[in-house]
Amino acid sequence: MSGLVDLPADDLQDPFGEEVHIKRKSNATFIDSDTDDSNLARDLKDSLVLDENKDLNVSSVIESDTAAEEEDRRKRNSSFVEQPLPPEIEETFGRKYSHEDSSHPNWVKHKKHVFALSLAGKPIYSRYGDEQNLAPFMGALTAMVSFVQVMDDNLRYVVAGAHRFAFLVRGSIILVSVSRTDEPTAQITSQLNYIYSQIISILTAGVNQIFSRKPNFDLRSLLGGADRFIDSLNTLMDHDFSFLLNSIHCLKLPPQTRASIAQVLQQAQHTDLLYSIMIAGHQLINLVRPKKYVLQPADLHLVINFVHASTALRNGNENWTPLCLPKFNDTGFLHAYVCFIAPDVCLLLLSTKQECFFELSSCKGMITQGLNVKGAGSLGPNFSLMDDILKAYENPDYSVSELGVPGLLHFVYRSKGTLQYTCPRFETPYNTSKEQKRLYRMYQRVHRRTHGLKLAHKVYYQVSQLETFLGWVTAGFELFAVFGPLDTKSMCIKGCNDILKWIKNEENSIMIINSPVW
Amino acid sequence: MSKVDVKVVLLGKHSVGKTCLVERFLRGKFKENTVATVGAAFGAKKMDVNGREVTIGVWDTAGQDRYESMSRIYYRSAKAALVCYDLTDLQSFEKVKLWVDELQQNEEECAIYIVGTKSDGVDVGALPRRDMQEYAKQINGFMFDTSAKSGDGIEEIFQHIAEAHVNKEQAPSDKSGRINPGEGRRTKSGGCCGGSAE
Ligand SMILES: Nc1nc2c(ncn2[C@@H]2O[C@H](COP(=O)(O)OP(=O)(O)O)[C@@H](O)[C@H]2O)c(=O)[nH]1
Ligand SMILES: [Mg+2]
Repeated sequence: MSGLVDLPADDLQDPFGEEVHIKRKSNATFIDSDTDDSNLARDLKDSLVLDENKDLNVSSVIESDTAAEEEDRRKRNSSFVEQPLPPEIEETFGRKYSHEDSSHPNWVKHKKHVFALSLAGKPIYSRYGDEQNLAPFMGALTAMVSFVQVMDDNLRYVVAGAHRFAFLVRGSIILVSVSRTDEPTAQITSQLNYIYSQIISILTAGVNQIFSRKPNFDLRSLLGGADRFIDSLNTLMDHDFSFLLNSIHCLKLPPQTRASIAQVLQQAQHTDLLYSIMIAGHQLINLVRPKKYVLQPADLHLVINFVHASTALRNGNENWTPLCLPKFNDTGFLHAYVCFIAPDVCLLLLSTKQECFFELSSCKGMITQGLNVKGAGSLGPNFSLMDDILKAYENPDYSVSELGVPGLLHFVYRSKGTLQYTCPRFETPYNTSKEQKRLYRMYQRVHRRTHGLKLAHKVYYQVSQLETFLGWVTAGFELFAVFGPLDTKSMCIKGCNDILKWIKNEENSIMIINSPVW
Repeated sequence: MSKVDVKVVLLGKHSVGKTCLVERFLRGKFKENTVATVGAAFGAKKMDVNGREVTIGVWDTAGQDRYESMSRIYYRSAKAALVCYDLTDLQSFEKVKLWVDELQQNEEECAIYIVGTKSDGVDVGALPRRDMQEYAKQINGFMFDTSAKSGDGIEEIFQHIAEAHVNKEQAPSDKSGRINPGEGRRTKSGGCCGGSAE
């Protein structure tokens, strides 16, 4: 059932009653730039001044920022030329920024730091720099958390100049983001939650038991090599709507093709097989599940991130690995048969059993056979379902111009019933990664305007120099649409109604409406 | 995978070169820049022993501490284990002993090959390995040196495993099923550099 069903097109006239919230912004101040001069350590110091009389022990941070050092830092800064490493070297010899620590001139310049540490203050992860060298800084973060916990409260965030420190404590792990991206705190917290889930996905919630037995345990001994999963998740969460919307993005396919793929997957059934999942890039092709066990979007995101971050899985072999899906069951591992059946098409067969690799391997044999039968695809007698997939993947989603909606630049539509979303691919003016990032940040803000606890507008309308944003949230769907800056309100409203009509027509190819089960 | 006659597992510390060794065996290639193996990867290859076809199934494990408790899945009922250490970093041999202990406790039938890797990077003859050779003898294991880069020694190990499998099938009276090290050495003396070098 799609969310659209309970909203017939006739009801979609003027959704803007008194709810309309008009906000004009004279100029956009959200351009991300990596050469920004703002200084994390200085901002942190600013905020710490406020806390000095509270005996917060953060001397290590304050000391590292004396005037002389600041001068020295500027000097080093100007002569420091960052040499980007080719990706393959990066992968083999470690992470790109691992040489940095909190005194490194470049370290403070990153727009969004993410840290994970134990309640005892032991470093677990840092997005930039080697977490081990950041131990004093992490110590300061723990101090901040425990300072507030002593008062029987939880520290959620601290604003220090342009920087926002967001905190989340889950189990025995503290997650911290220090950013100047202007993202809403609630969204940053949700991202931190994903990072916690990623750690659990590698180790299960058993980590918390380890910590309760040994509070000083160094988790990195177990996480070794898992930084790449968290790194890739951090990158994804900065541009992928899946996380913002907690929803799934499907590969656009002819409806008959998707149904035939479902059949192929269903026929390759085995008693030990829990989920059969097929993905192309970051998009879902289809998945088969037991009737009782829905696969939560958050778990699927972790699966997709896992596949994406593990280049080793593209080895031409079949892989068999433990994997925990925290929403499904955070205390135990599932066992994943993972195989790339085409360069960017991955098949995952998940089981609760450790010993069924060969059974699943023969399921995979049946599946690839079914996918390669000539004539089963939509392209003609010489083409297979796999040909459909490869064609769709080569040119994913659709152009916004296909909708024929005047002034429409981009949109994101989320169906609340199916927890899936759709959006057109990025085109001019969003053809650069900088513009895409800016657009994404705008979506984040509009999303917040329609989801905040206190200020949740059902409809939100905002005009800036570059575009008009419109957010519309109902019981069945959420629509965020972007029009030109000069487009009138009535034009945008009509545009939104046209988008909904188009989606209703296309929903069978852009979403999975009947989720196959066994 | 259709039918596997012989299951082989690679064990050893991460980065010693297990994935490269397997890649060389399966596809005859050497990839300089590997990434850490996830869980374990399975691949198979058909070998020829005097006109008989033997399919070898190889499990390449990650060697990460976090999944160590689960490695049993991968070596269970393996006919041969290649326990690898890095000839350019003899420290990595420490881990070999732990794996051998575990195998001997859980998989009595499994033949143990102690495999030195990256032989292209060192003067193999000059390595201080008397203790290791003693150890290999003591546990009744085979010792091989290999280089995935040059290909040296790799085909020999798998040929040795495949032949042992065929020999065993032809002599079903041998109840133990274990590959006899003495026999192995005689038939493939060229491939075994450990046992005879004392
Ligand atoms: N010189 C040399 N380097 C090797 C050889 N085999 C592996 N390496 C290098 O050792 C590193 C780790 O290899 P890998 O196979 O991934 O180790 P694994 O973790 O045990 O699977 C890689 O950078 C390889 O390039 C070899 O035979 N000779
Ligand atoms: Mg490996």
